[in-house]
Amino acid sequence: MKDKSMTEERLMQLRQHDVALRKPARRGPSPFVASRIRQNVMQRVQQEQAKRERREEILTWLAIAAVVIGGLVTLGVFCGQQLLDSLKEISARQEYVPLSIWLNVMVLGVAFLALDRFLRRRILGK
Amino acid sequence: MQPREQDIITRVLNGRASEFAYFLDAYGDRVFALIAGIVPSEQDAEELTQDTFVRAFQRLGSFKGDAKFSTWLYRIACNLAVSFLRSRGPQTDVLQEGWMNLDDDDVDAFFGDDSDPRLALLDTALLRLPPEERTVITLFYFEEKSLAEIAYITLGDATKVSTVSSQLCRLRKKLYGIIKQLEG
Repeated sequence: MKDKSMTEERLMQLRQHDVALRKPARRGPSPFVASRIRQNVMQRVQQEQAKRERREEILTWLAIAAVVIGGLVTLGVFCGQQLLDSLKEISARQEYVPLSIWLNVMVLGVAFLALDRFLRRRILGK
Repeated sequence: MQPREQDIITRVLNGRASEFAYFLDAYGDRVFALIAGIVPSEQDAEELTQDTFVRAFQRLGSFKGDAKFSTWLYRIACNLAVSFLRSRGPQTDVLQEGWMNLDDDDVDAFFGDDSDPRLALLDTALLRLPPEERTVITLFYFEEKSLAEIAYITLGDATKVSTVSSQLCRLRKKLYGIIKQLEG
C-alpha cells in the first residue's frame, strides 16, 4: 500500500509542509495556572510520600511479627523439647549459651532482613 | 536521559519527595500543552496535568530508563487524557464513506495553507477525531516528536514506527474528509 511505504523522511517533509496543522499549537499554561499546578502537585506528592512511609512502617512491623511468630513456631515444633531441656541444663550448670542457639538467632535475623527487603521490593517497588 | 535526572529519581525514591519539583519545573508546561492539544477544556487539561505528575511520582520505581524521562511522562499524560475522553463517551461523528479516495493533491494544498478561516475549521475538525487519533496528530505536529517516540508513547513500543507512519498518512486524509464534511 502506498501509505505504508511512506518513509520517515517523507513524513518529516509533510510536517514542514502542513503549516495549517502546526499552527493551532502551543497552548502552554498561564503563569498563574502553572504555579497552581506546581503547588497542587507538590502537595499531593507530599501526601503520597507520607502514605508511602506509613505503609513502609507497617510492612516493617509485619515482617518482624511474621519472622518472630514463624521462628517461634518452628522452634516449638522441631526442637521445643530439646531447647527446654538444654536451657534447663544450662541454668543448672551455669554454663554459656550453646552456639546452636546463637545460630538460631542469627538465622532469624537474616530471615527478617530478607523478608523486609522482599516485601519492600514487591509492594513498594523499591 | 540526563545523568542528573537519574540522580534525582534515585533521591526521590529514597524519600526526598521535594526533589520531584525539578520534573514539574522542567516538563510542567510541555505536559500541559500536550494535554491541552488532546482535551478541549483548559480546566480538564490542568487537572490531567496534575494527575500525570502524581501518577509519575507513584510509579517512579517502575521507570527503567529505556526511554527518555520526558517520553515516559508523555506516555502517562496521553494515556490519562485518552482514558478521560473515553470515559465521557463517544464524541466523534461518523465520517462519510469514500474519504480514503480523496485526492492527495487536494489534501496537500489544504494543509499547506494557514489562513485564519482554514485554521478555525481545522480546530473544529480536530475535535471530531477520536482521542487516540488526536493524540497522534498532537504529538507529530505540535510536539514535533519522532515516529519512534510517538510509537512508544501511544503504542508502548518504539519499534512500531511503520504503524505510526501509516496511521499519520491515513489521519491527514481523514482530517481533510471531516473538513469537507463540515464545509458541505
